[in-house]
Amino acid sequence: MEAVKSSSYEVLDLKPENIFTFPEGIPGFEKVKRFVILTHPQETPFARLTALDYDLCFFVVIPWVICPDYKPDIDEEDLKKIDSPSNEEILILSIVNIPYDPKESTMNLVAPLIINTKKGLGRQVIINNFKEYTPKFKLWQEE
Amino acid sequence: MLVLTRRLDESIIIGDNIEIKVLEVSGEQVRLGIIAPKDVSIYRKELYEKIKEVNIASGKTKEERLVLPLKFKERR
Repeated sequence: MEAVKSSSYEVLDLKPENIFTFPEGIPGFEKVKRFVILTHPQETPFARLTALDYDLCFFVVIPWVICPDYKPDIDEEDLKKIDSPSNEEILILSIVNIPYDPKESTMNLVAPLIINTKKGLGRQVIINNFKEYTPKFKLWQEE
Repeated sequence: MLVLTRRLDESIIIGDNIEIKVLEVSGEQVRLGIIAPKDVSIYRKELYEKIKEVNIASGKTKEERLVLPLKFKERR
């Protein structure tokens, strides 16, 4: 059985149903196709979308945790590509960019990840209403 | 780069299954209609490049630890 290890995580036994395949990878990482989502209580509400075949992970978050009025318009063609004609069964995540100074962290509201958890298929999409959002939405607003 | 001149409602065909048609021209804007197989992804280039750039900046190694700013922790 395959196992994946990450600094703050226990070794996780990998069951096929926990592996999400991104057939096209994601822009910039086209070769990286297999991921698992790892969570750790100390990193809540963030999770790690962790590559199985590369030393790579992305912090991700359910966008509504940070931005409750987020209304992504996801194209039907994109939903079809993850075998999910209705968007009821999909998990939507935003990739978080945490730079050296974590207060400058941002999340990408223009290009969320959509994952059909039942079929194990994922894809990064550009939302139809991309003009209303930014790919660098600041997690911590200035006071 | 191959350069072609097209008029309104004219198309170009790429390979035997991709068609790009000029639907509207107004001032500096051109509206294009694209017919392509489902497995071909189509993006606005500047948007695609931006997403790629943000993705690359966001990638971490598995060993990297997450340090959350205090403010965020306090808020929850």
